[in-house]
Amino acid sequence: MNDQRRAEQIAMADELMRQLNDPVWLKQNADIDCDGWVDAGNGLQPYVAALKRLSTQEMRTIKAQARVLSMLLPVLRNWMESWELGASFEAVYIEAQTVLFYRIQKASFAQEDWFEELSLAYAQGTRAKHPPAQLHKRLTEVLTQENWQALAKVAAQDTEKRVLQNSQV
Amino acid sequence: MNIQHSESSDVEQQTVQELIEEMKDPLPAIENVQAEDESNCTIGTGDRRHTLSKADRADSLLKQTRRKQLRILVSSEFYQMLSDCDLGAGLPEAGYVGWQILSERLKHPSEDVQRQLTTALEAALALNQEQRGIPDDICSQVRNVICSVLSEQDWETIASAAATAIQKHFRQKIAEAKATYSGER
Repeated sequence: MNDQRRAEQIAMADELMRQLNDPVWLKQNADIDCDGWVDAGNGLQPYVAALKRLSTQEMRTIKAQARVLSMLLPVLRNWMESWELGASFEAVYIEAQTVLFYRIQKASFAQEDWFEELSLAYAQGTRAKHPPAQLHKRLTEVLTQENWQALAKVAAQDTEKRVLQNSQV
Repeated sequence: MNIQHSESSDVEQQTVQELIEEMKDPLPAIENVQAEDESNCTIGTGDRRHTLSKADRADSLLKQTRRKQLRILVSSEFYQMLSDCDLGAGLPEAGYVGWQILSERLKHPSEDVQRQLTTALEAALALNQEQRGIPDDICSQVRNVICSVLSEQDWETIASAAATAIQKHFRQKIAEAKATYSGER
């Protein structure tokens, strides 16, 4: 895949993710759905239209990325839950999802092979071949030092905010 | 006051841990202090005490008992306030730094603060022995006092201590994971 094509795919996937995480867009579309007679899913039409614009290959790539995330996110969540992050866990995990999604999109060749393996394992129902400890190891490599630092910073900021909020009786 | 919230020594950490344990269930600790002092088994107040008259000694002991009880009442409520923030691994450092600041602020309390704390303590001591824990209204009274003596800057220092501790803890977790898995192929 050439760089330009790859960049277009990433931009398209980004746009889809952005739409689903945009509260204004969600509110507008929820209003469409809830105004008078309900036509379920009406608000998702632009999203569906955007999906339809994707080529077969792009769709395949997005599905594979979703499968990799389905393999890695529960493991990452369980792992982080054991880190005694207190209430800052939620903020850290939300950021970790974004970071991981980005890393999957920007994978190196070696990482792409591994992601393909994971995607296949998910599709074939052979997830048990990838035990948590092995996935932890790979996660420490897939997320860069900067990524981990950024997540540590989120934990710190959230903790600080929490103390200041609770200092008011 | 310049609070040093860099790394605490092991001894300090242990002291914090002991204090935290005591703070978790303050009522028995408050009663224990009274029982301990009534049986006159408080140790370590020094030779000066022997030179005091009996009346002075009784008065001094009473004051000392009250101070200890107040300390437990205030520290337990302060710990509860921090616990409510759900700080995870940041809690011990926040508790340690916060308690240093709070102790400093309460060294010379205003008459109003003294009155409020004494009222809260008396109410706590008047509780039925069957009653578990300190009622919400007393806790809330103590909490109000804590918030009135701690400034915005004090809270920022406490928040910063918790933030630094959790960040350090997070980095440590990653470093440990990397060290664990680096040998594996």
